[in-house]
Amino acid sequence: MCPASVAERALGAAALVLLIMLAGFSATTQARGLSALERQVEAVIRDSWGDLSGQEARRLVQDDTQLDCSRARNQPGPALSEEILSRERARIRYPEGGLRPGDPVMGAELARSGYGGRVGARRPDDPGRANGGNCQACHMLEPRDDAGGTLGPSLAGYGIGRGLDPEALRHLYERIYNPQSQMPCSAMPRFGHNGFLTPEQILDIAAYLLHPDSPVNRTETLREAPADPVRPVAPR
Amino acid sequence: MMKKVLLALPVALAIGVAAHAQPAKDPVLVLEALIGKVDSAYLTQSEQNLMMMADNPALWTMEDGKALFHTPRGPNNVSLESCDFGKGPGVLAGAYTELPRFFADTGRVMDLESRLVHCMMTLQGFPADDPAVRVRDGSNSDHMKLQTYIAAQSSGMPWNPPMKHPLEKAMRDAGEYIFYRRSGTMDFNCATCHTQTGKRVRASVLPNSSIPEEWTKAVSWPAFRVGHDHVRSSQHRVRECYWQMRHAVPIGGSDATIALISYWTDLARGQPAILPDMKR
Ligand code: HEC
Ligand code: HEC
Repeated sequence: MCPASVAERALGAAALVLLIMLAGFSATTQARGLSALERQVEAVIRDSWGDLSGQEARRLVQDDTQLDCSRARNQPGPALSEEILSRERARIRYPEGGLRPGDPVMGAELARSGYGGRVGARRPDDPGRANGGNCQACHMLEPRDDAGGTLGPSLAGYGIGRGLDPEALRHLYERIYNPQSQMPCSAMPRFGHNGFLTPEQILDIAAYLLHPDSPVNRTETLREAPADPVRPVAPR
Repeated sequence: MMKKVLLALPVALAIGVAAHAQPAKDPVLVLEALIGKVDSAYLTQSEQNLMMMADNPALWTMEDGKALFHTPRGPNNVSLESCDFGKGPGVLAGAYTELPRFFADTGRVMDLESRLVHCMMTLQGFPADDPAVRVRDGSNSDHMKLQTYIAAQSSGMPWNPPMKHPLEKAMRDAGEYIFYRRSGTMDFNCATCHTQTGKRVRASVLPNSSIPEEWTKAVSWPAFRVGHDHVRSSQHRVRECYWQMRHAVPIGGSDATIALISYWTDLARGQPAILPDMKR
């Protein structure tokens, strides 16, 4: 799987020279575009992944917002936040037929499925099969969702008080299509912008979250938010 | 006490084996001490693993590794006893917790796996495509056996990767850059999932890279991965994270992987290593 010959080549003199140069530069020697340190590590990255082509190669290349959020360590100041918000807002595309709620049953499936996008030599995902939104990896989706993650807030009851109101639908469509149009440097992937979910799939998921009859919004099962599993770490 | 040792000696001699391999410090005790120090959902997430750790299957892998390490092998028919892991030829105690480090004989910063490859090829004379060198994954690979044995000789010792040589510092800094580098179809960087405490991705509690007492368990590899039913290495974990981030995996032993391992070890600095560990 990791042919040693390729590895040995990648570990050769070129990378070493780059790193010796790198050792001499400070992160503040900011040229136009990438700093010296950034250029050096980018070369190490290219070397370390070897000969990639197609989408595997493209995915390693950063776009403007990825680069800005990396530099800001995901904590953009006010000026950068404004810049990202307006840039990412302008990148949102809407479906031909306008915004209409999709199929909530399909949406439930997509919100849970973590399928899609895995590339490489071993067991790659089939690009012919629909990608899932993997929302459940980071969000609890329903009042009794013990499998959901907590990186993002619980979405249980998300549609209560919103319903299928057109403004709520637009807001949610935009949140899923491009979270950084609402929250710069969000941890949440730009599902629509990155082409991972289609506009139609996003409308299905939105219907699942907003529809009054969706299990997401069944008030009778809505209980107190589960005790926060985050326990404070004793001060050191 | 003395009597016990004397009685045991002839038995060991009779069945022709050296004394059992032992981690430098019982990894169960190391983990328990950390759990007593910080309240961490990550450290305590699997009660079952905590109970099973005394019978960690990685202990057998370590045992196999001991035999392999001391046996003359390869075209040159020599053991790995003269391999220098940074603290002098054959010195294993505390060697792993001071990796990655710069090695003057190769002019490179090397992690455990790349150093082992170097010694297998230069000392023992194995060609690069020999399975001993090439196969890096699985409890049955020479690599996992040897890495588990070598690493366990540093169990309980504080992570202390040297930062004296400019390349050691450069690799650590490159690793930090890569850790925060967002890219790909998911816009992730490592920090997306590893800079908060007690958060979960689905049912898995995420270790926080800024809490050294918690992070030391995250970087304690080799570990038996219960979900994989295999002992896994640091290099394997790097590949797995990129796979989950929907990226192609980096070449094993490449500078980006060693840089990441330098950075993540530096983040655990001062905390005791749990070796071998057991993970979900
Ligand atoms: C990698 C983790 C991650 C994934 C995957 C993810 N989200 Fe999120 N989401 C977050 C985080 C973190 C927030 C909190 C705000 C922020 O940082 O953007 C959030 C916020 C939200 C919000 C706003 C909640 C509020 O109260 O305003 C909605 C709605 C949402 N996500 C829906 C989704 C849907 C639908 C999906 C799947 C298509 C999804 N998320 C996938 C991490 C994620
Ligand atoms: C989308 C979230 C996500 C991203 C991004 C991510 N990881 Fe992880 N990482 C995980 C999960 C989930 C685990 C398993 C934790 C568990 O089992 O409790 C894990 C485990 C680990 C562990 C070992 C801890 C263990 O218990 O298995 C290390 C070390 C680690 N990741 C490093 C990294 C590095 C380095 C990167 C960037 C290259 C990265 N991660 C990116 C989610 C992520």
